[in-house]
Amino acid sequence: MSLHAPSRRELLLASGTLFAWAYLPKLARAEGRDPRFLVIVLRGALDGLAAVAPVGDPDWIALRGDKAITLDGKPPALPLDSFFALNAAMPNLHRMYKAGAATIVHAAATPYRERSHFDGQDVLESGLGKPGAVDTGWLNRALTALQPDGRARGGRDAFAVGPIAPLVVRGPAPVLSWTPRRLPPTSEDTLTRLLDLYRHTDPALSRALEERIGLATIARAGGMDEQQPRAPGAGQMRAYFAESAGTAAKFLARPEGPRVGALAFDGWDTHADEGVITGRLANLLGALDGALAAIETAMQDTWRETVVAVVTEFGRTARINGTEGTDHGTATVALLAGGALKGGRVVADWPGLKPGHLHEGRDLKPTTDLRAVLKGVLRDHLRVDEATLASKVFPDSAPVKPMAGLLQQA
Amino acid sequence: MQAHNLLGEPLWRPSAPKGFPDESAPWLNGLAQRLDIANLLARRVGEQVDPREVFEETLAPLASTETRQAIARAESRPQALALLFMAPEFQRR
Repeated sequence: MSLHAPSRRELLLASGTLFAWAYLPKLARAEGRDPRFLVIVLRGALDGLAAVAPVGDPDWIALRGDKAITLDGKPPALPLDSFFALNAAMPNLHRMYKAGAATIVHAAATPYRERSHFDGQDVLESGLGKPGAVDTGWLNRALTALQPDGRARGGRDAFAVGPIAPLVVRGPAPVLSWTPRRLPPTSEDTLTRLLDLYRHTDPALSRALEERIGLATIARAGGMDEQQPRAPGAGQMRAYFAESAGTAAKFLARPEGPRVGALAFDGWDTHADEGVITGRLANLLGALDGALAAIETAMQDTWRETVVAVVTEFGRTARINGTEGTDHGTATVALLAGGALKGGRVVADWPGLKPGHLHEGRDLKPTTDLRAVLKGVLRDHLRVDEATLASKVFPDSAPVKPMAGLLQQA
Repeated sequence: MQAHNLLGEPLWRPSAPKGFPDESAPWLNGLAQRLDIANLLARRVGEQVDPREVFEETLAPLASTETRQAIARAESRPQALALLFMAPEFQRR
């Protein structure tokens, strides 16, 4: 099998999908496995209660009112077990879950307990206990703990060009970056924030931007599927998510390709008009669901050796705010998908939703350290040893034991 | 170069002998293109810089409270940087 020489297009520098492929999980290979691991970072803080709802919790409906997703909602939520149900926008993840190829961890959080996106993302991606100046991510450091791949000299090292990568994959292990041909357009969220800023500071710019948004909406509406009306831009977003994730999977599926990759999706900071059932968040979850399906398809036979981890910097407030959205919170969900998982279950030490059970009286209380989940995958899937996980990958995390039993292969 | 063209002020080729107009109307018309470029640029460099530091070193002395908050509350560094590029204080200098 000859090395695939990436084309200029594939090597265009940008913050697309990133892989480090000079290092391979040799120990796992010695067992006859060839594991793949893809990390998807959701930037902006996913509302875990809107993605996976505790429909069996007696306090659920009272907490979210008509924004609560339920089994008899329109559309009805997808049942996971007797207590949890998945947002109806995620039928593919539900199918994977039923097939034992998805695990959902609820009420999970990083060690970060403040409410800044930048700092929260730093903690999530650096793997450190608190924010600070760091330039390496836990995924990259995990790779360097694996044995260097002898075949990776020369040509592959020359691909170590990705200076612009999500923090989680930045570090000493060389990375290759690939960029979708079409970068996503300026998001509706960025436009909304900018318009809000102009309205308060500069009427002329505000008018100019309003005209632009109006035109853009009309242009997009022309191509919209009439039977399934979506917010403007939803189709473009779905296409972008699916192309990014599907291409990442194609690289990972190659016999000589990289084995670990990461990508980031923006737009989850739903302070206003969250659209849990139909609308913004439902569209985002649908696009994420499409991305997972694209990975499964592109992986083909290697899907059974794959784990995809979907993580976010923190959760959102348990209650809906005054602008039909949710604000920065604490615990949320982590989604795992892939044929290598011993899936089909929700892992949660459920903290409850009564006011006294909420973190600071407002957020879902974290009962699982996200690092335990990630350490469990890194140990049992890629065979990174526990001492390295506790010191180099997630420094000072020895008390946080790797979660056991996530993989079919223990 | 391509960015210059998109911005409506092609290098060496002003549309009138007296140069690019100084009044603001034509510049406002290019807002959409500048937004796309700001967005693109922010996605390319936004991961590597701390927008709060960039803000302090550039716009801070003349920035409004609203601009400062919009940047601090952005959901990601690239978004913060795009907002910084598009801030009224940046657009009108």
